[in-house]
Amino acid sequence: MTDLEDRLTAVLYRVTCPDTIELGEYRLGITSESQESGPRKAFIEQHLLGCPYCSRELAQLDSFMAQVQSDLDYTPVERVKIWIARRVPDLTAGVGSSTPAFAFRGSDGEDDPGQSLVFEAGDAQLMIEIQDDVEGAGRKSLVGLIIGIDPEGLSAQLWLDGQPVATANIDDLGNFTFSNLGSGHHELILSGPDVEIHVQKLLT
Amino acid sequence: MPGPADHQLLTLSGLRHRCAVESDRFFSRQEHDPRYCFELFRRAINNHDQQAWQIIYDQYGPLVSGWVERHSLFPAAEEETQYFVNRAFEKMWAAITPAKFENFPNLKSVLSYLQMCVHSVLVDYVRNREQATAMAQEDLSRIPDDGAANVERRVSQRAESEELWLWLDERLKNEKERRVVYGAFVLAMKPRELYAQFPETFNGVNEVYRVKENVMARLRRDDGLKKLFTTGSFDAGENPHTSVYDDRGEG
Repeated sequence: MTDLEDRLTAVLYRVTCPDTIELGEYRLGITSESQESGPRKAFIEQHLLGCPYCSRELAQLDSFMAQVQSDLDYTPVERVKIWIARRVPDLTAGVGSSTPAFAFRGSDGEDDPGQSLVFEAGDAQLMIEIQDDVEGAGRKSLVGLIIGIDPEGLSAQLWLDGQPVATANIDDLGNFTFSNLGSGHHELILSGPDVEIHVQKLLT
Repeated sequence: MPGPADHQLLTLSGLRHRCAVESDRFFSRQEHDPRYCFELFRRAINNHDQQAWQIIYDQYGPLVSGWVERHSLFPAAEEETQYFVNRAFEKMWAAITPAKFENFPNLKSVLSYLQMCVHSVLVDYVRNREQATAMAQEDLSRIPDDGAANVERRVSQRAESEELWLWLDERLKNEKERRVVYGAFVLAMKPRELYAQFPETFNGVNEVYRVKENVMARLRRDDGLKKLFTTGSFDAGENPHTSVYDDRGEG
């Protein structure tokens, strides 16, 4: 091959080929047709007739997708009921109930420190109190009770900044406790086989 | 009494929890609900939510690693799995706009696209290696590999190559010449391969040789092309588009 031919090959090699994403989108049937790009689907179809490399790459894509397709085969089922707990007024407030040092606060508004929190979530009701943790200075404990649904199989998880930080079992009567908690924006998630309750934007 | 929660009302923590639980169920062949993982993708793409992207990366990184390692091009690649995993996610971040996301009705369609991105990065790797082989015929010292700037350089080179292709195309007299130049330089084919690719265009491989010789003889006499390969730019009168390879210096 002459020097000029070498140079032309170096500069022009596959210059007309669509990029790999465009080729893949063509195969997935989502080729974009904008005024700027013109009728790309027709262009790619025409290009494939004369480009063995792009044809080979599409065949490799088909083969690969067939191989990994089973990873995506599923029958979607709306299996779990998700309830986002909503704050309700504490009907026991002001009748001499316990006075915790501070409370987690629901997202519905400002609360007085020391107030018990009551939430409603589907058929369930949830009572939460925060107390000083006797085991650690400056740390807190959370005591909760869930009623209205069968607590069997339920577990409680506290999340902070997108990560789970503590897990607690829920007893037969619906009681659960977290201890040695630091401060921060927490979310409480109660999970069971067919129901899940989210108490969002709890603040300490 | 509130109804079942809309998954769009869940926090990122709530979605991360449910997506992980449902994915675990899926991989253990149990019934599962894909809406929460799909909602993560929706927030990442439509809301440009970086935290959602990070959760997706954490959740699907191992799955994507498996796809990379099952691809037929991977065994010959001289890069680690993680390199291709990162490139695949980057491809997806860059390629799917909120408008394009409307084409994805469910999690399966999004993950199919991610599979396509895995294929795309492996083919890119092969294409770049082939391009490097072609460029090895040229003086590579003029094309330094300097990291991020190299990406811009590649884009620039691509545009300049397209410009040269259009310039050449204007100088070809007929379909046979066009097929020969396309086959010989764009597809890097030998005359025999070229004839096999376009048997309906030529009366035999000898005709491919003859057409190619004629075109090359004409191109060698072309002042514009001479100037391109000696100074890096066309004559202003030859080409209204300023220059090709201005940044490559003297040839």
